[in-house]
Amino acid sequence: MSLALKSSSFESPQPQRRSTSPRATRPIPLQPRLDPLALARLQGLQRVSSVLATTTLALSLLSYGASVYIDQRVEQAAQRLSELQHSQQQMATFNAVLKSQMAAQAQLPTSGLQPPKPEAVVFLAPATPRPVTTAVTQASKFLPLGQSRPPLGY
Amino acid sequence: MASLSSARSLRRRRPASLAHANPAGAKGRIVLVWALLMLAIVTLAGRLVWLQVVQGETLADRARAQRQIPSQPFPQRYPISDRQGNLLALDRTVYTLYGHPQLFNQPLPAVATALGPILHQPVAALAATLGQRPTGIRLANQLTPEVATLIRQLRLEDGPVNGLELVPQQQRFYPQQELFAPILGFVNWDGEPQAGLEMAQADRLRRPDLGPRDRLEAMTAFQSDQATLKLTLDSRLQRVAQQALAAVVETHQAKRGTVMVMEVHSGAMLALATVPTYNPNQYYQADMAAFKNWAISDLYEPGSTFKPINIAIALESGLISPAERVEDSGQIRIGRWTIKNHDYATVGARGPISITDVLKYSSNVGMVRIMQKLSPASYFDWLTKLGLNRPSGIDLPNESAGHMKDRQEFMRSKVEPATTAFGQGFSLTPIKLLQLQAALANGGKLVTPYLIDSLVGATGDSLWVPDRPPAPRVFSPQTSQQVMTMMAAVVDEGTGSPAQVAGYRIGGKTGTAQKANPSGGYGRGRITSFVGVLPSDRPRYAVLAVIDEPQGDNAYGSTVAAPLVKQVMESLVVLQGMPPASTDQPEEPPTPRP
Repeated sequence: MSLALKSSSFESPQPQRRSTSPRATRPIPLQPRLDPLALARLQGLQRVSSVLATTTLALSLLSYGASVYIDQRVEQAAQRLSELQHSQQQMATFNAVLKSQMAAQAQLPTSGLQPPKPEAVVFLAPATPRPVTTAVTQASKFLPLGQSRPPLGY
Repeated sequence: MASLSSARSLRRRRPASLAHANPAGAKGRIVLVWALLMLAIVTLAGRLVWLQVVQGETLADRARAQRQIPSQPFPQRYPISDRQGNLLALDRTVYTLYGHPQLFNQPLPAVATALGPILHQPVAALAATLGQRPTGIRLANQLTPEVATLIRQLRLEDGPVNGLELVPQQQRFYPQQELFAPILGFVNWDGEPQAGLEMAQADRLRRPDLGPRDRLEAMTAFQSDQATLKLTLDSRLQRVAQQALAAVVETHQAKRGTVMVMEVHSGAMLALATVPTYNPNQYYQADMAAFKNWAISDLYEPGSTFKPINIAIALESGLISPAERVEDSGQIRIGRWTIKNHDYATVGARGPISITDVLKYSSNVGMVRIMQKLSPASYFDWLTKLGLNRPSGIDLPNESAGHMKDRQEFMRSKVEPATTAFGQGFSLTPIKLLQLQAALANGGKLVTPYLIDSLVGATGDSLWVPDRPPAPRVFSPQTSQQVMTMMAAVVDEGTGSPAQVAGYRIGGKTGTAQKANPSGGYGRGRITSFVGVLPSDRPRYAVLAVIDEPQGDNAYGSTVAAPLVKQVMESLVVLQGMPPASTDQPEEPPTPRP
């Protein structure tokens, strides 16, 4: 735009200054003279830029769509997480209240329950740790190694 | 482009001779088009700046407000649990109900009639309240999520009700109500901790501020930041202790009382029950005096429960041996004061008795004679070494330091060391006495009592463990063992026999002290106590009960406090899985916790 303006506004009056004769005037060079090679280059450039523009447009549309979709999914997930967090808090509260109420009820004289006393409890000494049997030795009790029964259908 | 095509069309329509007239007209039009385009660009740019820069924040907020679904506010504080993970304090969502009558799509009386039964409010009063203003009327506070759901689902003949707004907020909730109130304290409606651990650990309990973040980011941050402040207390034992204590206080019409259970090797508290207590969920209805934990903040004269500590001082100083005998004359004159045994009127002088008998019969005169062997200066140094004038260091706020006479007064007046010998003339908190008894039981180390185990993450890993101060050794293991043997005799054959638990070796000491008047001197009020150690041959737990001002002539440490300690010990051995001594298997000594 600015080039065109320059050529039309500044170049054309110059001949008038050099010669006042109307015959000496010549038309504005409206059509730039370009050699075919440059023209071909420009044409190629135009194609490339068209492809680029189309690709960019497609990509931007795609990314816009994706952003809307992801946003929607994230929003749904956030909603679910919020509900779960709320439920978790409520469950924790209910559980604590329930435990406390049960303990309070157990303390009532009408419940028939008593605080723990050693004479009403059987203390068992922990058993001596038994040797750990592996899965192979367990299996070997029933099936000799290397032998397997055919599968049984029901 | 535009200039070229216009020039071309001019050329077609006009002869070449007129070409000289074209540049001016073309130029004008070109400038016009250029100006229009520039104007358009400037306008667009200006609008862009207006939207993005000037109004950017406001518009972004409006967009966010449209996009966001009103979510639940996040809990402000970490929950608190006992040693088994039972929750003692947690945040819960409560709702405040607002009415906006100008938005009602149903007649106001119909809305009031529907809401009345849900809110447990008289319909007429509700209708009057709703008639006050066209909008923003607070109708109810602290509504539970269940009530909030009922209000949301409210349907009248013409469909759902518009104009009712439920605003959620987080509020601290204590499911165990009175059971832990003097320990935990409470958080008021404004979210400010006011007492107890809630106040002492306010910074540790407060969740990191999620700030003005995106909701999703805040939710994720909240989810990944789960922790619980785990205490050393056992809810089951605390419940047993609280119930038994409340029953004793009621039976004896006492002013107040406390029962405490402590692991002697670590200082971990398993139970700390006090009466009076209050419901922290309704703290606004409680007596302000109940907000302090008197077992931590109030001083009392321990009386005879301090005698085993004095015996340990004398043994550790090498002034007496366990086999030594002292003369119990029943009464003794110190300056212008006469000190008598509590049973002088009935028993009189006992004559020479063993050190064990001094404890067994709780002989004041015997104690005075033993402690007279120690110079007042050394005695004072010992009391200072035991930290009698310092707090125990328990992780609860507002703990008081014990009160002793100053050094000059203690050394000048002969009666001061004499009264100190049987636990009067100075005062300390019940928790301090328990700390000293634990030092006797654990082999001589002055462990610091504590309630906070750690801050535990969601996967059970420790996020923070409080620093435990090192436990200085004040008595030798030998002295500790010797005193434990004597204390076992007190329970087996002496004043502590009401604390016997069949099958278990228990050491203990009773205490019945006269209470000092505010004007000085001693009045009729007494404070009874009993300290028990279990098992006495390999101590693991110390239990202290203090009952303030029990009524009745038969109110002594042995009749009021010892049976209470027995009850707590019976539950303690079952809950801790400690078999009776006869079937007791050799086991590893308990490992002191850091």
